[in-house]
Amino acid sequence: MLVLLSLFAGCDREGQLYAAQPNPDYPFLQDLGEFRVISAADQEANLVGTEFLSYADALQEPDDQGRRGVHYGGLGAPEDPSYYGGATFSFEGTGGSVCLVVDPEVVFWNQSQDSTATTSDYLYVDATAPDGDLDLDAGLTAYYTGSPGVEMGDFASAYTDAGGVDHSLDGSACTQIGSQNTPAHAGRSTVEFCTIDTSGRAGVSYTAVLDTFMLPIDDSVVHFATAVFEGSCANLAAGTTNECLLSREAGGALDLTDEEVSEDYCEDPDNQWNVGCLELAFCDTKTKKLNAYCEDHFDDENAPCTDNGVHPPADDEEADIGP
Amino acid sequence: MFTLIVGLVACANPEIINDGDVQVRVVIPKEAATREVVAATDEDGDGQYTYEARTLTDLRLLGPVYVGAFGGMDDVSFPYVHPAMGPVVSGTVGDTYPYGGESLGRLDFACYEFLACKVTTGRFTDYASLLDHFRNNLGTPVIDSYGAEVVSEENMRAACYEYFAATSDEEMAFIGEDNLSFEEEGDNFVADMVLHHTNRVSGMSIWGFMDAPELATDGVSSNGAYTTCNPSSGRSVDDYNSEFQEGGSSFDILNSPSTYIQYEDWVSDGLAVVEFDDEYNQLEVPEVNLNFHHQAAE
Repeated sequence: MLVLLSLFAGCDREGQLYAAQPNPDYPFLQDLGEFRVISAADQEANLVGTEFLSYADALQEPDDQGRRGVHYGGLGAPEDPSYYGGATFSFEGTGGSVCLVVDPEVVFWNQSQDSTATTSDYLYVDATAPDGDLDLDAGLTAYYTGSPGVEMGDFASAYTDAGGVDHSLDGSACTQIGSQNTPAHAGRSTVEFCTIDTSGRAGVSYTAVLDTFMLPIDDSVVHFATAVFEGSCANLAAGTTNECLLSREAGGALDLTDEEVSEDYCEDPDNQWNVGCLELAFCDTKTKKLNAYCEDHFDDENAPCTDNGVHPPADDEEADIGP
Repeated sequence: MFTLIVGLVACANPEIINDGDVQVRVVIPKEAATREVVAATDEDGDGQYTYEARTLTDLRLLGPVYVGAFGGMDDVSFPYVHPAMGPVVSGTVGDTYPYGGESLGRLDFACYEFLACKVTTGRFTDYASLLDHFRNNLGTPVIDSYGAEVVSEENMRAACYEYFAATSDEEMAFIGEDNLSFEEEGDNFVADMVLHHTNRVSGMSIWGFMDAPELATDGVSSNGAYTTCNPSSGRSVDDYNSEFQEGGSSFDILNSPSTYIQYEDWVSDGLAVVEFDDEYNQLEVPEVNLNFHHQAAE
C-alpha cells in the first residue's frame, strides 16, 4: 500500500511551469504613448541590402515631439490571471495607408518547418519555451472602449436604431485575413500586421492594441517589437512583413552586440544557442546562411538543425536551443 | 398533482419569439411599368436591326422589388425616403440594419450568357414572352452562345433543358403563368408578400424600392440590366465556347439601398408601419406604396 501511495506521489506535479508569474519589470498593462509613423524615407535609410535595421537607434529614438519609432518592450503577467493584459499606443493618421506591425518573440525559424519546404531547408528544431503571442488590433481612438494603461478594451460598440433595437458595431480598422478567408489572428509568436486606410483622417488619432494572448513559459514575459510604417504593408521599403522585418525582438537579443550575433557566438557551446544570432542567420538572404550554418555544423552536439532527408543529419536530433 | 401543475406552468408559455413572418401588400403604380421602349426589327435577316420607339405599359418592365422592415425612416439624406442608417464606421454609407426583407421577383439566370443579370422571376409567362420582351421592348434580341438570335421558344426550351439538365418547364423559375408576382388593380399593380424570418418590432417601418431595368432608346446595348445584380456572382460557367458568370443578387441590397437605387427606379414613401400585439400577432397588413419616381433633375 505504501509503495502504491509513493507511486501516486511520484506522479503528482504542480504544473507551476505553465503558470505565468508576474514580473515587476514588465507590467501586464502598459500604455506606450504616441508613436510616429515611420516615413518611407526613414525606411529606405535604414535598409542595408535586404536587411531592415529595425533596431537602429535612429528608428527607436523618440522624435522632437516625443513620439516613438520602433518600440522594443515586454509584457508580463498580472497578479490576478483573470485580468486581460496588453499594451496600447496611439498614432496619427497620415491621410494615406499605414502599416501596423507587431512581432512577438520568437518562432522565426518555425517557418522553415513548413512541410512544403522540407526539401530545400533544414528542419530547424523549434524551441517553444520563449514563444509568446500578441494579437493586434487598431481603430480610431474615439472608438476605443478601454482605458490605456488601466484596462484593455476593443473597438466594439452598439447602435440603437429608431425602433429601440441594438446592433453591434465593429470599429476596428485593422483586418487580418486568415487561411479560411475570414478575419483571424496569426498563431503563436507569428508576426501580425495590417494596413489601415487613414484617407480623410490626416492628424486624427488612432489607437493600436496589443492583446496578450499567450506568455512564454520560460520567463512569463512576452517580448515584442512594434511599429507603424508609412504605406501599405504590401509596399514597405523592406519588401516584407515577415519575422525578419522587426528583428531581435526576443528577450535579450536587442542588447547583443554585432559581434555577439556573429556566427562565432552561435557556435560557442558555452553561450548556448541564442535567438538573436539564429534569427540573424535565418533572416540573412532567406535562410541560406542558416542552411549553410547547418551544413557546416551538423556534427555539433547542439546544432539546431535536423535532417530533412536531403541535408546531412545532425548528430543529436533531439538537441534543443534557446536559453 | 403538484407535478402536473408545475408541468402545465412550464408549458403555458408558448414559444413566443420576435422572429417570424410579416405580411405586407405592395402597391406600385402602372406608371412604373410605363416606359418608352424600343423594338428591334431585322426584316431581311442580315443581322442589321432597325429600331422603333414607342411608349408601353407592360408588367415585364418591372424589375425586382425589394422590401424590408426597418427601425425608422430618413427623409433627409437622399432625394427619396431611405431607411435610417447606423453610424458610418467603414467609410461607406451607414448600414440600415434591416430587421428582415424579401423581394418580389428575384434575379435569375435564364439559360443564355446574354441574359445574365437581365431576368427577374415573376415577370414572364413563357419563353415566347421573354423573347418578345427582349426583342420588342428592350431592342436587344436574345443571342445564343454562337452569336445567333434565338428566334423560337422551342430553341430556348431546348437550350434551357440542356443547360440545366432539366426535363420540364416547371423547373424554370423565370417563367410560368402561376409565378407572376403582380395583379392589376385599377391604376396599380399589387402583390401580397411575406417577409420571412423577420425581427418583429411593433411600429417598425416597411419600405422598399423597385430596381427598374436599364432602358435607353438611343443605345440599346445595356438594356435590361439591373443595378442590384452582381455580374461576378452566381455560378461560374466554363464550357466549350462559353465562359461567363451567371450573375446574382448583391448581398447587401437592403443594408445599403442607396448604393443600388438609380434614376428611373421607384421608391416607397416610407409611410407603411406594422404593429404587433404582445404575442407578436400582426394587427394589420401594411400597404407599401412605391409611388416615388426617382428621376434626374431636368
